Amino acid sequence: MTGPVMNARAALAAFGLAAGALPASPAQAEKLLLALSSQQVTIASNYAGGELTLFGAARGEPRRSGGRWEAVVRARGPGRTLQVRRKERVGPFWINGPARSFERAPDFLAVLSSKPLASVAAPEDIASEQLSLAAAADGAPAGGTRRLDAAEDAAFVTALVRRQTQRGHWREDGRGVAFLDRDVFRATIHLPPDVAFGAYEVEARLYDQGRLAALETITFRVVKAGFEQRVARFADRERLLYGFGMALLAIAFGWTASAAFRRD
Amino acid sequence: MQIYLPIAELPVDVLLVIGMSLAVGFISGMFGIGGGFLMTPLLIFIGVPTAVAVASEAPQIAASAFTGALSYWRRRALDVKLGLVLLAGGVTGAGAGVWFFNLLRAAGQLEAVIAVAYVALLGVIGGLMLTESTRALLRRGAPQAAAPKPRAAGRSIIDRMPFKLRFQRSMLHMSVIPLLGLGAFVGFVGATLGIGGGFLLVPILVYVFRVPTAVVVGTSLFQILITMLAATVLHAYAAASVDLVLAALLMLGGSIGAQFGVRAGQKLKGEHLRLLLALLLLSVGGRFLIDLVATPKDAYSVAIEAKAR
Repeated sequence: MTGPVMNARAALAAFGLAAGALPASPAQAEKLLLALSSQQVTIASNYAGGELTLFGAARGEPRRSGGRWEAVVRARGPGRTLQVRRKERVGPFWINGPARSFERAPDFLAVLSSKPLASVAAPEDIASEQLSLAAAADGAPAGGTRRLDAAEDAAFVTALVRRQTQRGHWREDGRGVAFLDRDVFRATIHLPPDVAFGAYEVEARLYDQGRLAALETITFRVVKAGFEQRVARFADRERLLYGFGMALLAIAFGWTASAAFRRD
Repeated sequence: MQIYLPIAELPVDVLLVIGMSLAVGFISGMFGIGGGFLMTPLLIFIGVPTAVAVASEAPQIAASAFTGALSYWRRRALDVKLGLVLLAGGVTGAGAGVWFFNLLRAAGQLEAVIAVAYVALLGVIGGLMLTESTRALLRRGAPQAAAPKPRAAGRSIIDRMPFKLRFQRSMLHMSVIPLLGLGAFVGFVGATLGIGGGFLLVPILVYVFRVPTAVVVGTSLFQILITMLAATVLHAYAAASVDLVLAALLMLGGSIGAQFGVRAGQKLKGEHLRLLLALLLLSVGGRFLIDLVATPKDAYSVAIEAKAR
């Protein structure tokens, strides 16, 4: 597997070197350095989910909290339109009724923190920075079949968080960030089997007793490997040829099976 | 063992998919139906997006149908002439079906109409076949020839229609107009519900047109083969949604399964075959009905709006 798990250790070693080589920053300004175990996740035929490790190092002194940092890591996949539908009873049948779509919402979202989110950041920051899953869902522009009142809208927000979490696409983990010593932390990002392709953004925030001390961003990409990429591209670009090719393949399969099983 | 599907964009269990396609292929070869109405729900259940599931089944159904059709052809139980007449009607019907499909989607009630229509169709046809085949089985003491061909009132109108053709294999001499109409009806329903329509065609040819069951199965497979080849090309062209890897897995299982299905089908008596098909249709219909009526575990569902491919 050309997997993302492979060389977390190598990345950490390289990262240590890079961190050491950086010029010393002014004593007051806190800084955050980030490194990912891989910049690109390649989906080959044996892909069945993967993980990436993020390393972060803080520079500077925590001033308020007696020498302890807290960290929040948020990884977001490419934006999609997610539609949540609710079934309702019509006569004897359960049929899809009202719908609410969440535009430019991430199909993948992981919020990892060193302590439960509410004890790291202030509630208003969680809302305005869309740190929690609920805040991210709530913040996505709405679209839908009709206008929903506030209570109904809230029900759809809750439902989106619940369903995405069940699918393994969204995750909130108050123990997802582990500090290795005072300044260095590690977080593992789990990618689902049916991962979306494109650019992913990982934001790490360093908190000093509820105060945002530093914010840094790093990105990675999820791409298809050679064969998968070529098939998908060919199917998209040479549609008619691909279609006829598949039809011929069907004939070939049917004929082979018939010939192989013929008794006389 | 997992393998990643390049167009469905998710990994599936190879053995599970091959096992499913073996089973569906067996049923397909045995009854002369495409099996799409069985395969689609199974694929959706393991997480394949609906559009990819429907599109990647088309080549598999074509492959199974081709193997099956070849076997029936060798046994002289395939009426190409009848098949072509049905297809001519089918093309027109499918065109109307696609138009109706889009009309329903614009009205926003596509899913509900499809689900209810599915249950109704499977229930009615399964029920009718069940009654008939049970009756035939109970009558079995009587000699075959004694089973009278009931001449319905409509029959004489059909007899008087022009453009008569002789279908030797089917032991049929009749006007092409009702056959074209039947083809159009099956094409219309098939395009609306996203199915091949074999399970509609087989009983109508057997009961209404009195074509021998063996010939009906062969001819139906021939009609399904052509329809599904066209569907493969159309799906690939319109939505690029045919998954090569998924289709190959389905074809592998399906074409082998169909071989055994054809053999099993030939060993069974016509009324036994019809009884089994009736039970199958009723149980699938029942399953859909439960989905429609039972209180869902979670009333909410999430769908990712299809990105423009």
